Amino acid sequence: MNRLASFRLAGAVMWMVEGSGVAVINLDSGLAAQIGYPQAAVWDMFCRGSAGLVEKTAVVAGISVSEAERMIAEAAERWCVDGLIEEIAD
Amino acid sequence: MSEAAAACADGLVGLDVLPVCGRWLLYNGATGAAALVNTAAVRELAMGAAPGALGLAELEVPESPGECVRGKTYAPPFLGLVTTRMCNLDCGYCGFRSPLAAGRCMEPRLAAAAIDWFASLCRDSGRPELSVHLFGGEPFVARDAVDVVVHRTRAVAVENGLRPRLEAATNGFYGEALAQFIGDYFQVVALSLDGPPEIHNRHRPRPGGLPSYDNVAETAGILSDSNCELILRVCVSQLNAGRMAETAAWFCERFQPSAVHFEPLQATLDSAAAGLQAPTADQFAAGFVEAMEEGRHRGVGVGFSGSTLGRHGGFCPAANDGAIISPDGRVSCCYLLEEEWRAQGLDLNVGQAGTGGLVRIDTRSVARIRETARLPHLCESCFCRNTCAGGCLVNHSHGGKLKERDSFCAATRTITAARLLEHLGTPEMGREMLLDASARARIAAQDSDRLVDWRIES
Repeated sequence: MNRLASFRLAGAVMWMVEGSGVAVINLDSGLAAQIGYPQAAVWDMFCRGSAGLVEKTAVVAGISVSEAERMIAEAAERWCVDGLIEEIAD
Repeated sequence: MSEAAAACADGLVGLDVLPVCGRWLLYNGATGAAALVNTAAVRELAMGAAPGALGLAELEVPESPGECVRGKTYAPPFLGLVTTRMCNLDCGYCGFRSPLAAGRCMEPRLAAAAIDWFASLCRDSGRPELSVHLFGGEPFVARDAVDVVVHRTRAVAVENGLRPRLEAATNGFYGEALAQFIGDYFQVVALSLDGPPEIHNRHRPRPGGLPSYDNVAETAGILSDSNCELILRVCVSQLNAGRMAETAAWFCERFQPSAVHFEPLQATLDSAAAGLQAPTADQFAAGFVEAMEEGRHRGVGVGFSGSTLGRHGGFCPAANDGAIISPDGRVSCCYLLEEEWRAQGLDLNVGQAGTGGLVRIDTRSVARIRETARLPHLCESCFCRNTCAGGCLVNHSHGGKLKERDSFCAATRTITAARLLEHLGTPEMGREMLLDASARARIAAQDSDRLVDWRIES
């Protein structure tokens, strides 16, 4: 299961690709984060709406699909707390 | 004599001499040094004078020519990944159209295994960079494989202390979002754009003859605005041979590319059926020098694969320990279709990659291909033997069996001479030479360029 499927990028968040991952900033809160690999791949594919996020994350990170699901869920929780993503209302 | 120098003594080193506009162009291909001299100086050198004694020390043959020989270890300069042979265009001159080529994308796990293997090879040999190049078909049609290639390359590069470098050859026919992604992650993109809409759409239509220009030009604009190095690649047929300068100028103004590369069309049955022919060597060379002039005025390099100065071993990956992995896991040293090189009696496979993470390289195959890809005998006396090195092993030298110089040789020789003159700060002389049919013919026809074969009547 892709936990990030129920999230979207928070409104005031901008991000860019940098040398060893991605740099993210919430313009409202001023929180800036650098996300390294393999989570940078998750961030990129989530933001671009790339299909097969879990399966591709597993290959990029060299882990099983269930481990990739866990990694994505943990990242979703952290990024939500940090105000980088927000849950989509039903 | 060092090992490298000894290994090079089979004909790569030595001075060459070419007639240019009433003077002589001396060239040391092993070092790239060149000079313009008069007949008296050439005579002295031909009689055994040391270049240094004539104030031409830069032309001395080095004790160790360095890059001109490969080491014993298989050392691909980059990892090539054919993510798919499928394509979303229907180009009139495409050499990749084949029933065998269709329908398959590289498994992401295979791509990851290949990247891991190459990263280990780079790390263990002390290289600073992890260089991965994408080929097709159209490589970005295989989006799942591309996502994994990009992120696995970057992740593994970080783990191994390597700098990631992603390059791709693409047709640019896709949406804005994908173009932005490519601009974000790729260091070099060679985009095929054949000129103004009427030429591009004739050369590179979508299936059904529909135009592709507008979309590709939009992609070029996005890549131009990104951090990637944009190289615009122009295939030259009889239709646009007379428009190369105009194309170069327009591309420079509109897309601000890092470089514009012109390549003559490789004639095939398909290209003939599409009414497209290769330009003559004279057409191509004359058009190229005018294009080079336009690029120079705008600070943009104009290139042609056969005449890249400063390169050793030519541009053909088969002659340079290529490692190009196909969707079926074959590791070859050539990105052309297997059936194309099989038809020439060549076996360019060097190993097999599997999704289990294992990449096997057969060292006997590497040795066999190195032997096949040796400089053709005909090229040993050509001053382009280091930079062109016989060209494409499959479509030009035919497995090192090139028997006589052809139009590619003629274009390569004259354009390389013009580039050397530009390098020497005398581009006008190169232009004069390339626009003068008899001067072009003289360079194209000189049997041996070697100083040791020089005669005053030549």
